Amino acid sequence: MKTRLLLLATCLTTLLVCPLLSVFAGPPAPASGEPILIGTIQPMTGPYAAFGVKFYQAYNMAADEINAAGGIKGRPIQIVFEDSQDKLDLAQTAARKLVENPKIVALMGGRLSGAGMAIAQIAEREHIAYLVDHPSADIITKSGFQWTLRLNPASSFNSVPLQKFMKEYAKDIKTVALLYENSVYGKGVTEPLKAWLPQNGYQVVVSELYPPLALDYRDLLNKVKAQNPDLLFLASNIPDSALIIRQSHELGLTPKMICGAGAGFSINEFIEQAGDAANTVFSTGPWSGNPKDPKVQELAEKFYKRFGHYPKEHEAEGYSAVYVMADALRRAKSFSRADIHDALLATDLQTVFGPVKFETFEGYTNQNNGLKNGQVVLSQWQNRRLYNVWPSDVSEAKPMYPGTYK
Amino acid sequence: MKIIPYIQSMVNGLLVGSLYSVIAMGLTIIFGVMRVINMAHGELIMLGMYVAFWAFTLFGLGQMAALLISLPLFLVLGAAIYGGVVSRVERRAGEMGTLLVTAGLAYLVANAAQLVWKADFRSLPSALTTRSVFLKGISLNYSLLWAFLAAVILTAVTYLFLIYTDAGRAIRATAQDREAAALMGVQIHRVNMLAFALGTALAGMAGVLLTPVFYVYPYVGRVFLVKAFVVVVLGGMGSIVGAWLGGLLFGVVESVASMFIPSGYRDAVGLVVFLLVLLFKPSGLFGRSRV
Amino acid sequence: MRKLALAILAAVFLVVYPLLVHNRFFLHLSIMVLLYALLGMSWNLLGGYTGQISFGHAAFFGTGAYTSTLLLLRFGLSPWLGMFVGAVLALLLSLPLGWLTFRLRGPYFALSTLAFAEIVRVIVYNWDTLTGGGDGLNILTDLGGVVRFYYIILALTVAAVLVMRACVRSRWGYFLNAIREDEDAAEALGVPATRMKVIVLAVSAFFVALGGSFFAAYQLYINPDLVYESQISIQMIVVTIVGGIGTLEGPAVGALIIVPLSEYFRGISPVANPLIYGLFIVMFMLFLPEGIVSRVRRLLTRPTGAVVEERDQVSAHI
Repeated sequence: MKTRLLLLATCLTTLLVCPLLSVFAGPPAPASGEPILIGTIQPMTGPYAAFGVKFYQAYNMAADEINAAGGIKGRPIQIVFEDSQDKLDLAQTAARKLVENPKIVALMGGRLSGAGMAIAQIAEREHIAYLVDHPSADIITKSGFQWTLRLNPASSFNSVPLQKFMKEYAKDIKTVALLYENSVYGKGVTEPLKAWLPQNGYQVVVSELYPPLALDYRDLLNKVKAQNPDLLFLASNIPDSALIIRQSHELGLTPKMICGAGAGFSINEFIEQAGDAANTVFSTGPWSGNPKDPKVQELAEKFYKRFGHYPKEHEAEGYSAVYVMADALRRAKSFSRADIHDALLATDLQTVFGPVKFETFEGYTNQNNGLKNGQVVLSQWQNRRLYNVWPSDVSEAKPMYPGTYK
Repeated sequence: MKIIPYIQSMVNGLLVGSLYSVIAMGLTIIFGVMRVINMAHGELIMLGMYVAFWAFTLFGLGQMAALLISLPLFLVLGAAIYGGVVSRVERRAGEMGTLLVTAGLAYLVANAAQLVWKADFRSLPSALTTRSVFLKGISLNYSLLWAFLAAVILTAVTYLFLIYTDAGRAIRATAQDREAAALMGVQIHRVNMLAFALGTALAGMAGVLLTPVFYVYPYVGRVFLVKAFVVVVLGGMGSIVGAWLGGLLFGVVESVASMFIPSGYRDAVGLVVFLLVLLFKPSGLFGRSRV
Repeated sequence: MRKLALAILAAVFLVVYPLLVHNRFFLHLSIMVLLYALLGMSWNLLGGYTGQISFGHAAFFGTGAYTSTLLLLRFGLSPWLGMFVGAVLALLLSLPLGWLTFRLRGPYFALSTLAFAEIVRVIVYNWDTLTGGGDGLNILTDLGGVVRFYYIILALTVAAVLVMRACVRSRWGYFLNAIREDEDAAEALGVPATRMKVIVLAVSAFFVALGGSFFAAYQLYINPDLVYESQISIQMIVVTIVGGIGTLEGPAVGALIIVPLSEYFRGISPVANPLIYGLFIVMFMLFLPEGIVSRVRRLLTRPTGAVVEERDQVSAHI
């Protein structure tokens, strides 16, 4: 008898608690009607939430500007966010949920390369356009997907500025250590470089594929230090990037150059968490727009005024993605998913991120040719700000080489 | 051949190992006395980490203060868990039951923590956690050094408590031979509760020491649980000295091994050690041979 | 006689169910219920009947999932065939595990299964040329609709029930009970304890792997954290405890309760979902450790006037 009562009590408590838990469920679904809905999957919570916030800010800023200027044929656009926590299975569930909402006309975002791949497959099956603005793995646009379009550079483009820098400027680099995280991003960015290095006379002294979100990298970095490389190349997200730099600083690891591959190395959180240890660390990857372009400078100031920090790669990508969407929506014959897809395919637009045109070349489908457009650069943290340093025609500062990592 | 990296590796291993020791000590006391495996031990450590984190972030309290808060806090928590959950289940469902219920508890606590505190990784400001000093080319992180010292002191205090106080002796007696202890007038139920509370308090305080060194997030407990088990089995279930030495040894083995194997397999080192010890010397370095 | 009629009725209902119910979500739920019933029953054979609590069954689940998926992706082998390859592989994998750990008792056994599953996960995670590493594997081929999946999992679960039933109703059933109650005494009486444990583990692993392959085909995406994580093991355990550890129908009943609740909570927040597993394990271990089926059975067969000592009843099932 007592047991049954207690069981009953548990069930009742659980049922009563349910509605309370819905407090944690996030913002309610948007009201239907006028707005044109674009769905996006971003990490809103979890260890990579910092990235999701950037897209949240950038998308909303762009959407607000477009809506203030009259929207699309009088209708405002609205971005619908789903949280993936940068977990691939949650990203899939989120994408499916968005696709099942008939009011959502297209998808964008994804953040993690792996998530991008998962979303691309769903988009291909369900016939909805997916605009990739950040996931960089080559495979996303090398699988022949018709419904996926990417405006940002593919991972294999990312290390090209570094390669040029090594050949043209830092000619005394001989040995290289590669530390990259076990993910599509880590491998996608590093493997092309890993193949290029021995072909060009460099020696790879350490190559470690490490599990991300580890608590302590001292042993790994100690191993690297034992080999004394000239260049340490890292492919990590935040918080790993900051932790690795802090711990290498602590261990006294001082190569001639430390270079990250975008992601965790090209965002403000990096300098906030790594502090002075991150000074003179380089990053090779997508740019955040041509710093000499007045439109880019204007965006930087607007962003700083509203959010308190300067936009970088992610914000530039997100902001441009919304503009690309808006441009397609204006040209589309109707607001059906198929017509929007067709309109996107025909995009030829100058954005803050540079030119956007979806081309098919070298096995890529619907890929914006970032290499040709010069949308990948080498930048460096100097005095707590990230400056483009190579190639010189888009540079804002002179590269400080060798870096001072003491 | 350069020797410095290997020395650095061993030093790192020793420092981190002492933290493993503190984590394992709590678990070994509980097992030694009650033959209960507390699958929720890792979550208790996680709670200790959050206590230290919030104490600093919300109230600006340092580690010493956090340690002083967590001692009574976790003693009470441990007693409550024992009285409210573990003892009842043990009576009704035996050893297996406690295994299952503590596993359930672990799951519950970790996910409740995520619900309340979100899955974000937290850490103390880097200015506090990255200061280090160089000694003949070997880098020593301040927080790790301090944690090492604190761990040694905690181990010594626990050891002295167990040897020289009545309560401590009661615990040891029960661990050695439960029936005999009962016959000698030891209140087994009280001793159990004390042991569980003590083990929990050690876990919580270990968490406080870990906060400046590792990221704090709801599932971090799982990582430490496995390490705790490895050390407990290595050192011998129920042995304090075993837990201390086992922790140091394990820390060094893990660190040095990772110089030679791909970093992805680092976590497997502990697991393999664990299985090997269970296979060839289940009583560990200092424990009793009953398996 | 009545029991047979009931069984036939239930079987007919299960078979025509998808023809009656067209709601995709309900079909999804029933598939999940059947899957967890399958997993729970397999775990229960080792845990409830033989008294060996394993936290490492995720190793077999993941092995099944990865084997059938890799065979599909590399060789185009249908997962409905590949899953048997996976199941055999899991069975083979269980043999060294059994050999390693069956001399250990109680908590030591449980811990080693945990360590074993973690080692397997780490290997799969790092061997990325074979398994795709941390980012897992995606299945692009169309494997059929929800209804087809329903019938497949139904068939698998029914097969498992029949096999389990054969195991526990036979002489083996007595052996397993004896081992659970007191292994040394059983051995003294001539029960080949270690051999039985190895067999039971192998059967258990086989069916759990089938479940893993099914899961992979259904979800169309797997990675080491999804299929090798302890959450899988916990899910098997919770449905068994809730339903009735040591009973045949227990896991099915447990799955019927847990799965819909879990999906409901998942809709609210992806975090609330695993929380209820922990909550239910704790609540049931505290107040109803023998599970619902055992309790209901006792209530139905309680002789008039006799007060049954709770303690003895429970120990028969834990």
